Amino acid sequence: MIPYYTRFFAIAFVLLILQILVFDHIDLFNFSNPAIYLIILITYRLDLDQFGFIAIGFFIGLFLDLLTQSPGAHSLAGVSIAFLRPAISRFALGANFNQSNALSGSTLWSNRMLYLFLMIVIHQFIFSMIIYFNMTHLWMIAKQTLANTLFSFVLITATLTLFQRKT
Amino acid sequence: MQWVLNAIIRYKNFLLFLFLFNLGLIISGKQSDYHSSKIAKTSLAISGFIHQPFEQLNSYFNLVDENKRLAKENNTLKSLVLERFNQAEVLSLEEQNIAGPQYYSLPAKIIRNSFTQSRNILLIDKGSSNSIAKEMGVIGPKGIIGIVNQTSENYASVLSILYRDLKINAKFKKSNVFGSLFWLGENPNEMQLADIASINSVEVGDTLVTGGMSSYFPEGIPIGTVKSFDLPENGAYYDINVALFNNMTDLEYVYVIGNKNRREIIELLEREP
Repeated sequence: MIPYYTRFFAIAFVLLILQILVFDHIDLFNFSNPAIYLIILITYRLDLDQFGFIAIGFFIGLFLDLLTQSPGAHSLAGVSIAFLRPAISRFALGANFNQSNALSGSTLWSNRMLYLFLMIVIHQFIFSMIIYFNMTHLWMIAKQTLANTLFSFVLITATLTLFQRKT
Repeated sequence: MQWVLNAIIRYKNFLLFLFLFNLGLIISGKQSDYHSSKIAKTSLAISGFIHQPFEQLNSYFNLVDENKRLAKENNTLKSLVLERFNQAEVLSLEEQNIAGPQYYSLPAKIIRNSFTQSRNILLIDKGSSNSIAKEMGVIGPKGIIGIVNQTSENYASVLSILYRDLKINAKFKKSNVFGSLFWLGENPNEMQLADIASINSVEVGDTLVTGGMSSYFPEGIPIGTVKSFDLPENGAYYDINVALFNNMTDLEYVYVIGNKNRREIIELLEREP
């Protein structure tokens, strides 16, 4: 049995490399890229300590920022979503929000989809806000948030479904 | 003490989030000039918003002293106007137009003064919406104060002359000998003048004014007087201590100096090979 954190960091590393080498170059409609690496933050066990999770969120973002020359947007969005996750999971998953199996069979499919959607949309909103860093570009921020969210949501749902069936 | 530790443990997640978020903002500023400038502008706006009410309250209690000072300044200005009026009678119309009003001034109020750091920055209550722009000179009732560093809509930050890396072109009023004025970071009423060659005569009490070699300040704005000087053995240049006219620890109203030809001057300098 592989320890949880070994498996977690191995998957995280693979997803981050895929994000940098493949998904950051899709440029759908010339401005939209899916954030597939969000799977790392979405699937991190909900019953584990949040303190470590906030640090993980930040350092995953920092890793991406350094390799993509982004102006801190991944770090800031990562740390924010890690901090907000308990509130999002409580809202979306209800009573099961801090159970280790909350994202597998014990929760309604609609609740899991709501959790997934909220995690992605909030992350993408913060990310786009920091990229543009100017409220006069609100329309562009909204457009990019929406496009990235939908694109990421479809890909992340498909990936999670695929791997759940296999295991 | 126990309750502080309890609070830290209780809010550790939030504190970690705040710490890492700030770290992210610092990285953001380092990675991109655009973000750095935006962060500086936002912090300037917040800082101005926080300091203004306190400064307003403080200035209310200083009204009597301030009125006396303004009356004195008015008097000085009036005498200058009269002096100019007398000159205008002598000069022909063409001669008056040659000089032209290259510089203009905009009044502002200091809402945060700083003089205890080695790099001091002041905050004034006028910003880009009042036509204040980066790199405009700032003078007080008695002499130069600093240079505008950053502007937001309603506020501007000013690099005080008490800023260690700032060098200002200055000259002797009596002889037009130029030098560089800078601050060592010790006494807020004293600055140092360098690059004055030993062949020139220097005396205690000599007046220093701006040299007009930069586009920040017009020529002839008062700076201070020579307090003491020293000529190192075999040295080619004087070490001069200058006592400032302005009391940098007690500033309230200032004037921001605009140069109408500044853009033209900068463009010309940039074109030089």
